[in-house]
Amino acid sequence: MQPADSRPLRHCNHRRAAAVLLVAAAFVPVASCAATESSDPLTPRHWRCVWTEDPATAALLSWSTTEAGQRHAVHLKRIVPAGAEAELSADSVDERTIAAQRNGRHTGDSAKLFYHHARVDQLAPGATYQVVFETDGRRSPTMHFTTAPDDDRPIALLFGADSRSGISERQQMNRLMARMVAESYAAERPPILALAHGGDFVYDGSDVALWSQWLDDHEQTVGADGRLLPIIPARGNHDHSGVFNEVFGFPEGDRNYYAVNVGPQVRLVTLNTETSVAGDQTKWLAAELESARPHNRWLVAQYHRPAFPAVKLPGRALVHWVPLFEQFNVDLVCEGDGHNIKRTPPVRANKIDPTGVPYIGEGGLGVGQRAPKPERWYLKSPDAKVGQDHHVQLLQFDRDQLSYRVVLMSGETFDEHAWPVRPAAQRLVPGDETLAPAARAAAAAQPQTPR
Amino acid sequence: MAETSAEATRADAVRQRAVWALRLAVAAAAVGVWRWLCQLGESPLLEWLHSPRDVGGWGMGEGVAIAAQSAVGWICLGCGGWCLLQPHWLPAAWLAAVQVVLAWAMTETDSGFPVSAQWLGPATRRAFPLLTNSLRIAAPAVLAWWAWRRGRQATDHGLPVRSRGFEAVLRWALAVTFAAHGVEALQHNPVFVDLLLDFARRWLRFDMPEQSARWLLTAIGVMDVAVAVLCVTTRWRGVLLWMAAWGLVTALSRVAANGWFWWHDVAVRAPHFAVPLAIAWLADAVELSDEILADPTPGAPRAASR
Repeated sequence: MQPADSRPLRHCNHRRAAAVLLVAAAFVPVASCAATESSDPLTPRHWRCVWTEDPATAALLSWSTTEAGQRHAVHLKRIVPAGAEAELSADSVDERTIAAQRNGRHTGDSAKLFYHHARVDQLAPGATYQVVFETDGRRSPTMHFTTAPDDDRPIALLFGADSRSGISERQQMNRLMARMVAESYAAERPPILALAHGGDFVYDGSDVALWSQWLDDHEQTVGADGRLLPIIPARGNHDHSGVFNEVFGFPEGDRNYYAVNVGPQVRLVTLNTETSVAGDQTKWLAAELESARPHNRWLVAQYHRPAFPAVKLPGRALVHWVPLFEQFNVDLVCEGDGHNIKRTPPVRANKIDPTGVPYIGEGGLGVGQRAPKPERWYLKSPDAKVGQDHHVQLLQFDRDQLSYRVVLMSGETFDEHAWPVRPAAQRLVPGDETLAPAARAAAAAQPQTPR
Repeated sequence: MAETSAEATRADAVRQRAVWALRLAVAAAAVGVWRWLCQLGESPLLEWLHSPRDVGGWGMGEGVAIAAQSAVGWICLGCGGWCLLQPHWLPAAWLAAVQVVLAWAMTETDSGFPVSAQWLGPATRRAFPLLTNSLRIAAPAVLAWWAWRRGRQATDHGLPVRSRGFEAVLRWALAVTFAAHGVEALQHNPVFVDLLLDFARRWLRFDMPEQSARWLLTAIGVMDVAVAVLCVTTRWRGVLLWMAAWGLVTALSRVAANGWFWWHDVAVRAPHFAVPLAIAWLADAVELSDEILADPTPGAPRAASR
């Protein structure tokens, strides 16, 4: 099925382009209906935008085909908002075609599937780009995505994990997320920029057929207006084998721990519980937190196996990462794997402490839910909240607080909470000289008040 | 005649030692399984029972799955005690079956080590837990076999004379277990990497670089595979003693690195250090029995193998 607007993108006057794009944006076909219905093995499918570097200026645009094909490219064009044409110079018109730098066949023989990755950089922060994926002349529907801003505006992220089973529920959750994203832009709420996925995408990470099914379903996160939901992936215990790196464009053998800024004041650290936790990764984490803490109002971590599980046993993160989270006053930690809903109170030194670190998550993007164990000290009501239902967690970051909302598959809200911004003293790293002297003085004068 | 009788008594005593090693290993592993299934509660078995059918699970409700897992654990504890007090084929066979089920649950829930070997094919790769757990399966299985045979083919001493079959099964299971763990070490299983790093940090006060741990694991992997080969191609006693010592070290490394909370990890690995000793004793008993069978008359020349 060809989209209504599948013409090649050509250089043109940017005002005219803006007008055309605005009209096009209103009439683009519902992206989620398209490519998987095509029997053409070269039609691009499994469209995705992956954020593992600087989301304000770079993105990985990826897709799949069933045959290898020869020429793979993405066509990119910046969409100029209505009324902003005059403010932008001619240099701001960004229209280009980027050949996919990395193409190959997915490892494994359960299904034949070819991946294509085009890394695009030099993007404008906070800008929306129209994108069309193309393989050998076959084009995807016209879609778009928005880069992370470089100004300190409120933003939002979705966190979810464990989409490895429960296909029908997974699809429903994907459609729910697409609606949430659309609403966040339409209602002028903090826009939902991306989905941080805490791992366990599929049941058997070496099975390409399962990945293909997941990628098919992931197309349903594309909104009715063609908006791609960028994904920030963490590896889960079921996501073993090299296929994970192939799907999300990591280099072969990459160990999948990294950090990105999804706003100038929001740093998201993604960790990997499925490789060595005690070694290089922990050293990297210590350095990352030390450098990031003073420069970010919000410091968030995500990974798969929980340190403070609601059902299972604690993972190795408890011994190796939790002390660092507490040392550097991480604001929020998102965990998966437990298949339930969890929000702990702030924890420090294995006690509830208002200055501590709260842990949320446990995964409900499709997988069957389990009964949490509210008798555990960090899960007791009223300080904590636990439950079981398919869900996604909405995190909204602004200047004063980090708001958290658990949205169930039905669209209902299960839990809401907010953590105020940490006092400046808690965002300092001993010996750090990068903050302004006034801020340091204010921080020094401020007692270690509860958050 | 008196000399032959003394040899037979000695063979029985050695064989008794082997059987006791097996009984202790099987009982200890049963206690470990009980703690795993009943006290800690989280296991591949639970996940398998609870997982939906479309991904290979049993689709049980969580409560039912927990109850089933708990029942299995308690039965294991009873069977372990039974095997220790009075070996019988039934409890030993149950324990062997549970170990097969646990390994299969690891396979079905993708919770074993994801061995990287595309050339093996996905089905074979997924069966890897059956290899790493082969000794935990073989120990109770051989005990069941021995108890069953003892009931049907008792000697004057209440024990079967020929132990060659038991020894062969255990020897191969030991070799497969070592080889499979060697492959994991060669592929730098992150759990092993962290065991080394945590052990060095906790006991040696040494911040070992991760790369050093990986080199060490490569050496350990080569050694494991080498002794696995030697185990089935030679009858060197030193190889078995080394395997027993290494099995004990690797089992204890779980508590050494992670603390006493994880003592069941040592208990379930009891066959890894007890079975090599049992094999060594069984080998002695086999040789002694061979002499008796080959040389029933006093004063005749001794068998060449001696």
